[in-house]
Amino acid sequence: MRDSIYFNESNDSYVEQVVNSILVNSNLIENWLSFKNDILSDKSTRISTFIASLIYLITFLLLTEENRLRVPYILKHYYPHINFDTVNGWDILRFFLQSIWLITVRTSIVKKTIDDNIALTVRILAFIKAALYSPFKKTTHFIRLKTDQFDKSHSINEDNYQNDFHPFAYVLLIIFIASISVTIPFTIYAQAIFSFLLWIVAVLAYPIVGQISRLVLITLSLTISSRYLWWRYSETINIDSSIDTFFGIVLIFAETYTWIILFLGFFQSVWPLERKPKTLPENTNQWPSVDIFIPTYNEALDIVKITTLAAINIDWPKEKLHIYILDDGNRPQFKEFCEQVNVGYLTRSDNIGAKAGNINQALTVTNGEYVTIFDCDHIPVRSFLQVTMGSFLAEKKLALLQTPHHFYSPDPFERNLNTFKKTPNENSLFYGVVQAGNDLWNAAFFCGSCAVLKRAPLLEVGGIAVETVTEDAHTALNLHRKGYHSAYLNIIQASGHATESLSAHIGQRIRWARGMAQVFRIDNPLLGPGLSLSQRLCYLNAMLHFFGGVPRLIFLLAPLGFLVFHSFSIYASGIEILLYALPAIIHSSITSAYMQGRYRHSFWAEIYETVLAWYIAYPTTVALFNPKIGSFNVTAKGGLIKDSFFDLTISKPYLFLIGLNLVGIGFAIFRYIYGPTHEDLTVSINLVWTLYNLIVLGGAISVAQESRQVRSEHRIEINTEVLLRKESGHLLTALMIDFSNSGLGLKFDSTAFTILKNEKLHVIIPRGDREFIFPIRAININNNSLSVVFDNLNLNQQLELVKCTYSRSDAWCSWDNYYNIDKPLSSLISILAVGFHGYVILAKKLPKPILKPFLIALHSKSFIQSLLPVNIVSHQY
Amino acid sequence: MPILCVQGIQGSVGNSTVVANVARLLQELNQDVLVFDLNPNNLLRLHFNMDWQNPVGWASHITHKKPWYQAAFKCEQGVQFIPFGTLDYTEYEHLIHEVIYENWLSQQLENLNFPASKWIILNTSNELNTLSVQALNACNMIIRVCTPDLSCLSQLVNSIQSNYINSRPELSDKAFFLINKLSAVSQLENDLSLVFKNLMQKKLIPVNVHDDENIKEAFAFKSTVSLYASKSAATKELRSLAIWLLTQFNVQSS
Repeated sequence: MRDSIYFNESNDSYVEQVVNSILVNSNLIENWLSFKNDILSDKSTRISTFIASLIYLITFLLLTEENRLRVPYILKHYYPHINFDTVNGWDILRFFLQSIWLITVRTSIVKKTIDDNIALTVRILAFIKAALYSPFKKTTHFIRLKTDQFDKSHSINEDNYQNDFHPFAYVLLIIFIASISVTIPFTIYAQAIFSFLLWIVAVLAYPIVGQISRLVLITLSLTISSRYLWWRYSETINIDSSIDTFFGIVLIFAETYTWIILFLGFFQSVWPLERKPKTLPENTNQWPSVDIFIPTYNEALDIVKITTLAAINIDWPKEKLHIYILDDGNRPQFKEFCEQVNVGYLTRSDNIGAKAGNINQALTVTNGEYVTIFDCDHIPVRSFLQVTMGSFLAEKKLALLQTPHHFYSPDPFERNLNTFKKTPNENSLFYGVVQAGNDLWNAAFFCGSCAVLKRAPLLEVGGIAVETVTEDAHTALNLHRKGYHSAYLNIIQASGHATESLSAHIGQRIRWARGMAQVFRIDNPLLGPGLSLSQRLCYLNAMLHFFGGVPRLIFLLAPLGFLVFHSFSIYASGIEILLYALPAIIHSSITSAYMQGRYRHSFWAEIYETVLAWYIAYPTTVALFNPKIGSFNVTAKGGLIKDSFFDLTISKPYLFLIGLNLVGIGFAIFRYIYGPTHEDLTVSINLVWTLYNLIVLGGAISVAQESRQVRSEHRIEINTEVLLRKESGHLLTALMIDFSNSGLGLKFDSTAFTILKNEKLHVIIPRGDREFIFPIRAININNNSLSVVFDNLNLNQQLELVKCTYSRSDAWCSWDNYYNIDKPLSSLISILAVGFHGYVILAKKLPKPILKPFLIALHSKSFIQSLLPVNIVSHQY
Repeated sequence: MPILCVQGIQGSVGNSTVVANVARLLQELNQDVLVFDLNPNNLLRLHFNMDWQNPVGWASHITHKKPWYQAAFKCEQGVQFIPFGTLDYTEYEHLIHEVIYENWLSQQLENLNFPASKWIILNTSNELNTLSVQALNACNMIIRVCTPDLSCLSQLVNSIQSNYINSRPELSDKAFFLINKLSAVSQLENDLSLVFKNLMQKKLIPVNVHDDENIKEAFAFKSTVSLYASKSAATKELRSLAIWLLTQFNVQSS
């Protein structure tokens, strides 16, 4: 009332009246503060605050209070690329461009998760695909119905499969037909039409899930690549010119190797067996006794401790479960720990035979019916034995059961390329497809850890094999030779720490490669008694796989033969090469993508194999000639890369190869300009090949850029509701989002409770009927996130902690949900990005004057990109 | 009409606290709730911010020849409650032996003529007398509150109350157990709660209420915990209990 009287009596101008009304309006300041809090953080610059106040004044004059409060959210939502805390002149341009874009272009765009460019490409492709399929829709549907029927009536499981093919008449007939379609010479046009027709069939079969399309795709791919190889052998070797002959033979050697691997790979995973766990008898008296061996040599007690505690937690009758730590390091503190937790501690006087010798020694002093082996950093879940042992009781001849090796931390590839939990890693193809494929042929082999072995057969073959450095595969081979069965159960029942550094990772692979080459030499699976043909082929593939180093290097250098030395290593015209080689490549890509599904994304193998190629080429070749050379080296794990660095030593060979390929590009340009015109196509083919090689080599360089690891202990995601108890007795609920050996990550409602840094708390973690309480200390509080460390847990509490975390039987259940189904094209784009990134890394190593233009170009590219309008997630405000 | 009878297995197990808090949380879940304090210790009213000195209650009304239902209150948040009232020893003896005739409680509840959706929660003394026996018989679910300690365990196995309920299938069938004041730090209480679970099997309500300082503080504020500390673990657990009750009665009514 007083206010209105005041206004009525005043003689102020209209502007002054407005200003006065603003000033007396007590909400103004309050609203401004909330407006400011909504749009700015504490770190805003003065200019930003000033601009925000201008915006606020404008909104104050134009909008109602309700709408005014929404303005900060609207701004942040529609201008996500502007950081309102640090506004500068360019942001005005950004604001302007984005506004125009919002008004004119954006109508209603749905949420997008991938890069716009990729999305557009994918959409165009989807359109083409739809156009291609629509005429065949009915046919496809018909085929799908038929194949479903076939799959239902021919489903294979571990109970009804026969793991060898006998009907030789069939095989002969197939070989006869195949040899006709492979060897018959075609004119260029005939070959073009033939390839096109096969491609159509492949494209039709690809979207149909089931065994028939798998077989169709395999047949097509084998036909077309055999045709290629036949054509290469019969028509394209020029024996007149010595240099052509030399390059031609080298290349055809690599191609033959690839063809063999392709054939064996298809054979191996033609029909992966999806084995299911078998139930155990109700009466636990009938359950067999099991010894668990945890061999260790130089690993820290902290690592072995977790594994041991998890082994103690395994659900199995206590009197039938014996755990032993096999310490080759002979360390007193290990002995003390074993006495505390009441598990066996075994040592020996010498270290002959490394891990294999260690286990063999333990076999002499223990007596469980079954032996389970865990590497000291593979932490089993509590259901491990209950899931695995049923198979042994159901199948008397079964001597070995392997489960996947799973890693909760990123391997060097995943860490350095930032693909962890996005793209399946190197491992997942082997444990997802290859081992399950082996299992069909009764050829699943032992991988050294996370496996159960039956003692009697193991002793019969003389324990774990000691002659080679891959004792695991060799032992499985020995068991198979004696007629015992093996099985693979694709259920993650243990989890471990991946190798930390690229050099350690490569070291491990070198050992595997050398060991496989040794087995190939001294106990060749093609020779010797006891194996079925299919087992021989599966083992052959496993071993030949590691000889891939030399052929890979040949492919990385092959285009130089023409570009630099002008040698026609493939003695044919460019068009012929295209018509024979391209279909072979396309078909093998389609078929591999179909068979590997979500366990490996297309083209990533190129990077994995390229990185390893140089390093396994030498040891495998040496081991082939002299299998005695070479020793067992322990894979170092759990190290910490404190600063990111570029591993120059590892990448030297790749820098050399990149250099050679760059020379090749120089020659290509030279030949394109000055060479005869009829060679243009050949030059182009070789140029594209060189560019592809450069991309893959760039990827190898990206891997060698070791990124920094923030923590020594990897934090593992989890999602469990827990209670927090303050010292005062107050309880609050919180969400446990990750855990490690030393601490937890939690989310809690910080508006309702205050937790101070270094405050002592208790966390109560429920598991089943029980709940477990652990003393913790808060070390970091940021809004709702809370990091805590455990406060001096005693041994019993550590055991309980493992029970609540690593040992949970569902701990790794949802792991492969992270991986999407393979999309070859987006895979290719990711590979391009990875390869490009490698060159960015290299560019940054260049001397400053040369580097500058590159950096400017890079910066200006990202700067211009930052000005462009960005898409926003559709959401109503 | 869901009628709950909440009775402690012995004294000081937090009976009134559970009743007041569950009533409040049911009401937060849009239920219409009336709590009826049949316990002469007359504690329930304090959770609903009633004056310490105020002697009003249904029992005192009866003693003073007033209609008992005029002692009903409604707290700010909407929960209706009827306190017991303050009586002296002779008044109480008179009430128990002279006034409360057989089936008094069920008749009174019937006469109130509430809609079928109304929740009635009877806060019942752990000692067996006319009132508590009538409450046990009149309700459609008994919640027997216990704390995870040895005295409760012994009362559970062998006491007048337990024997009375266990020997009557119509009572033991509708009886459920609630573990209250479970200390998170006590190893013994954790182990005992497992023993309770084994003993009670499916009769144990699958929500344990932990010993939370917030509950005590809320009582000191003459309030319920969901008002006093809405984000506390106690609120969450009691809310789960309320939701469990909802599901139980939906199952029974359908």
